[in-house]
Amino acid sequence: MITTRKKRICRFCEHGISYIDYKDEKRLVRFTNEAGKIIPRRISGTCASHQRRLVRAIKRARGLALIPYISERMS
Amino acid sequence: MELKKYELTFIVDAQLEQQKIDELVEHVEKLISGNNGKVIKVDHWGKRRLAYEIKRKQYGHYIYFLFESDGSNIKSIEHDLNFNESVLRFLTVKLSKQALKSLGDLESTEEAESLEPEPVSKDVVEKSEDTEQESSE
Repeated sequence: MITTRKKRICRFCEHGISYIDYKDEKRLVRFTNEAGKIIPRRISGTCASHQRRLVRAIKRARGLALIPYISERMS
Repeated sequence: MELKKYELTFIVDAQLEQQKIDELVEHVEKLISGNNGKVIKVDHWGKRRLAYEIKRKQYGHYIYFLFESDGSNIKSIEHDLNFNESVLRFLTVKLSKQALKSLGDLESTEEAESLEPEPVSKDVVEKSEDTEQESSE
């Protein structure tokens, strides 16, 4: 079965963001799923260079307890 | 040596008295400015809920420093924080060129806003400035 895929655009490239801040936890949370895992770029559509920066920011934020490593609210 | 910009964020036990927190902040300030360093900005984020428990604590007081240093005193600062029981976590980050650029952009936009405040948002701007002053005191 042939499925047509929607072209995803990197949201950081779209807004021209070069530095992803670890303090901006509201933005970082949007790139994690309910369990607190980082969403892979094949799903989120983030480009390779931004995904690397995003991952670094998320891991820093986790260390400072700004966002969870694993979310308790998982059902 | 060349001065570079660093960010230091650390979490203090929220149950600690405000006076002791202030003392600690002053102490860290001294450590930073001791070795050719210079504190650019101190920001109290205040009491926040931690995303997970650290040492059985649910709340923490976040303190953020932006400072300039030649890098020689970073180790001693981290060593000091490591041996302080009431400091739950800390993170020191050397700012990259991109980070500095985004920081500069933020500051310039803030300045532009304060220079030309819109009539509607004027009250909001003034209020936010007041809270900043309170937190820095």
